Amino acid sequence: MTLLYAKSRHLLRAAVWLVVLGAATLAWGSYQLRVPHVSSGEGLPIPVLLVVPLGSALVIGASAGSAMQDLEGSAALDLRVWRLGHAIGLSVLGAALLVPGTVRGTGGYGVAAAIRNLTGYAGLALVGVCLLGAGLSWVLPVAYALTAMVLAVNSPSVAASWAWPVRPATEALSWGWAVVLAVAGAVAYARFGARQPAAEDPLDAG
Amino acid sequence: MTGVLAVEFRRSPGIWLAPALAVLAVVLTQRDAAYWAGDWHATSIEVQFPVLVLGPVLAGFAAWTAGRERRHGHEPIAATAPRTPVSRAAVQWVALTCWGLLAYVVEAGVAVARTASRAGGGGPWPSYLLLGIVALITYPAVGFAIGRILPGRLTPALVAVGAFGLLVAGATDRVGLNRLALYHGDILVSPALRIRPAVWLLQLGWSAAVLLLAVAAVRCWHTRARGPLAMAAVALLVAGAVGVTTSMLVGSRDLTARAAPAAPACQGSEPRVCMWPDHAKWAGPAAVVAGRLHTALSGIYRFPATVYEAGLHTGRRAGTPELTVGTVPVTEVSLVAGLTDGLLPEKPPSCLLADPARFDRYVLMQAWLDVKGAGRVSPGISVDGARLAEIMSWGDDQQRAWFRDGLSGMPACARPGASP
Repeated sequence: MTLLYAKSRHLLRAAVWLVVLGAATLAWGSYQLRVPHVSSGEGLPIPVLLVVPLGSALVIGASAGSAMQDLEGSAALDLRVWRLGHAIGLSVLGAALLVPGTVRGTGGYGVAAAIRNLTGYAGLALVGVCLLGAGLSWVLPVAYALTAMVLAVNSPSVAASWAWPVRPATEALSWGWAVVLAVAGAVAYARFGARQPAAEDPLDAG
Repeated sequence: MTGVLAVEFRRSPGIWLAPALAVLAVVLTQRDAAYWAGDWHATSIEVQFPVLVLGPVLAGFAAWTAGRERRHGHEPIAATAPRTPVSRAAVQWVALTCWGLLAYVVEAGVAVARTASRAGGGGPWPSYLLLGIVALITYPAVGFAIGRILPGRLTPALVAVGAFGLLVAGATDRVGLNRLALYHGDILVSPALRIRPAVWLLQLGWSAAVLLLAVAAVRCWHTRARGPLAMAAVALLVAGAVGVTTSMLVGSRDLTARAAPAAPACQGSEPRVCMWPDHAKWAGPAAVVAGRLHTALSGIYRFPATVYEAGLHTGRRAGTPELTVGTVPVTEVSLVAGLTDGLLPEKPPSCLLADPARFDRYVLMQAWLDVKGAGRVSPGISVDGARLAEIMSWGDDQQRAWFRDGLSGMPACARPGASP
């Protein structure tokens, strides 16, 4: 059953992607992106290690769908436990793979910030899985991450409180946001699974 | 074809996406509205700012849309349709792009309406507004081609993140990639500057080349002509190399000087202050600040009859005041620095940094100018408040004597040092 579940969700492929992202963090984690800022030609510095967890979360979201979900509904097993294990397991793996590349981070922007961002983004991706389906699970985390990076930061040292991914990990509120999203995503995914959009739904018809 | 397009407009995810993107774009634009509202130049740059989010999201959705036939297993049926694969793909891309452009137009409309109600004259700058449109056409086209050729659940996400990465890299790169990202976003650029025609043409040409390559890639993929597909990939690489090289040959400057207007926005009399028409709303406050400084510095410094904004007066002598609008938000105190140019350097001379007493005196003098001109000290200055309060409590003549004494003791260095 475990193998069947893993194959139906392409979990091996997801694990490979997480390894690739972990390696990318190791190689470029300390590099700083200069996100364009409307009133600053130089842009605002955001460490790569804050952005890579977004990729890990997208992988987790993309792995959450199954082509056989209707059939699985008729199974005697309680799939809620499997889905919860799936979400938690991949998140823990993703976080563990990010650690080697983020230990060099400084201040509030190190291992803790990377894990916090993975936690929150994964929660958003899983909420997206329930609302939009696994194929579009990237929409919420990507839209939120881009908005937080370009809108919430007014100067290199000041970010709005809602922009938890770009706040230092020493702030409890940023963890609060991430944990709430993670719990909401994991619970929703465990309870409802991935949304199976109808063929005539423009979002899936795409 | 029109009927198919109408159907596609209803089926496209853009129908759901456009309202959300329009709201997001309007929210993104409204930041720093106090700065750009009423200023056509800054408004035109600001309108383009949401491309940073709209471009990647549309590119991701284009990649998602491109995989529709495959997701639903309709590829064999679609292959029997009388329309060519390119026309089928084009219809999907056109529908999504039009929805995305609608969001951009709404956002631009809100910003333009806001500025139109306040601006004294002038109009939108087409170069910046059109660049935003070009970007919102190009990014989804690339996303669509990638989604067709490399369908997969992660493809849309990778395309979206990749597009954002290109915009980020392009916006900060100084070699040549910045032009190819199709984005100019610094609203603090003076209206004395405009995009160089060569840069603008390079960006249009780059966009056209990318669109052609996207069409070629989709066509080759559907005809299973992998040889031509490989050629298209090579062509893309060559186009990229040619684009970057051409960009480098065009030179590192994106902007060039603009001819001064015949009728600048002028206010005040002693001294008279003239600014670019785009900055007309700052002329009044600048004239007030200039008048206060003129009074405060009576007997110490003689202002020219007219103080111009940077780039407006070609005959300006070095060391004379020149207004600059280069901060967000623009306040009375932010205008003081330009007006006192030539009296006190904006940054302390390097030799002052090794002399704490003189450096403190320099900071106090700068703070004194701020208070005299704007009633408060600039947020960037860390000053001894008690000492400043003591100076401000003196009589006007005593304050002037203190300032004159400080000026005579100010060493002249060749290079300004770091900010205090």
